[in-house]
Amino acid sequence: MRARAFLTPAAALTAMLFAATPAMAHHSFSMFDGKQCRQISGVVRMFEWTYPHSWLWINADDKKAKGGVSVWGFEGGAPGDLNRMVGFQKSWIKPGDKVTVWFNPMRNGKNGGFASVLKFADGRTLQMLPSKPCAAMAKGA
Amino acid sequence: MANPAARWDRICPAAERGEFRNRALGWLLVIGLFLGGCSRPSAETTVSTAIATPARYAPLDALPDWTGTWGADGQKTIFPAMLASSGADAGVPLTAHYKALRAKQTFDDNGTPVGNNMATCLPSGMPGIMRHGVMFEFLYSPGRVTVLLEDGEVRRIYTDGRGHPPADELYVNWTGHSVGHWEGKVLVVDTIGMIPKAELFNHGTLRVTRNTHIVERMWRENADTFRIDTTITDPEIFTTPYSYSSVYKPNSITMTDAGCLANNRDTETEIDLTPPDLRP
Repeated sequence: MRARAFLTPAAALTAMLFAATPAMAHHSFSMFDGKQCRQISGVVRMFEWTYPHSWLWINADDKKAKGGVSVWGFEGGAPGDLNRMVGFQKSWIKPGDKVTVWFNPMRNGKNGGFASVLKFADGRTLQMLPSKPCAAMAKGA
Repeated sequence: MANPAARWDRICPAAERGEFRNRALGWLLVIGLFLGGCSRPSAETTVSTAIATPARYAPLDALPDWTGTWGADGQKTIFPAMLASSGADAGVPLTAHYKALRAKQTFDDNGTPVGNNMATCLPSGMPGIMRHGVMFEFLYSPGRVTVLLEDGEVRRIYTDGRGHPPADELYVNWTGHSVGHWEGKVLVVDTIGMIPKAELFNHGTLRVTRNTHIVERMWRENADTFRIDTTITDPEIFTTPYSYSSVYKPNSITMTDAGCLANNRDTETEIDLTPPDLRP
């Protein structure tokens, strides 16, 4: 039986130090607002471990939405980049995980953005893309 | 300039031409040459159909072990290329023309220039692809080293002693035409023949020209580090040859034939936020 890999605080620090730069996106960042950070919590709907980028989809509580839930999509690093940085594996994020995401929002206001920091209910913290406003917001959260 | 006689020799050896001449009138020779009197293809298009024997593969055992899936180091390789593409690195010996092109690019909030091929799933091409961060792996076979890149690009490096084809036979493409030779544990690779859509760096709109010449020295430094020292020469782009050293690290996941269209939700300005099908 394989133990599930968790990102330890030490590994999270390593991730911070050697984290992806904006250059690790295969495209530019122009559709995201890199000067803003937003925070949202929800349940992981799906984690797409795909090239050229991973995508995290969550169901967030939203009283205004039909069924009380709205779907949000967050772009993350490419699997290869995430794996080289901290040994990231697909199994690190599972459907049903409760997660808070700090992200650079879409400029067009749609439900999505570029994921910067993820924090899970069990305390794990995962750095996806360094962002000064998100680092400030997520600090101490 | 190519000697016409030498060119005919490459297509059809003189001895075969002479034998044919003995059997035909002069005007038939001319027609015969074109209609199949000598059907020998040029070296560039020759495809070996011989079954590989152990003797042909044995020399590969002496080559260094480059097993694994490698990818560019973010801080030491991807980020410096981004700085070069944006102009934040002023040390790149660009010509005035290319400096002007670099400054004319548009930039996002992070200072990254917009407009790289990969955003729309075009190949990056050489030399840009080697600083993008895509995973790659090496395959050895007799007379050839092949680099398979995660985005679907393939680099075929011929180590059988051939040179580049002459300009009028060069089949230009994204990754160019590469020939290599081993200097101990180092593979020295010489590349020409990229189309002028191939990326110079890893972001932005600067591209190579038809005369860009790349020389790489590749070696595995240790278990966890692969290095490539690159020098690019092109008087239209650089005032002096441009050299940089790239560092690659191993992945613990395997390569796939992912291809950029597997889940490309981005263009340079738009994102498709349609949630994925929940079926596994």
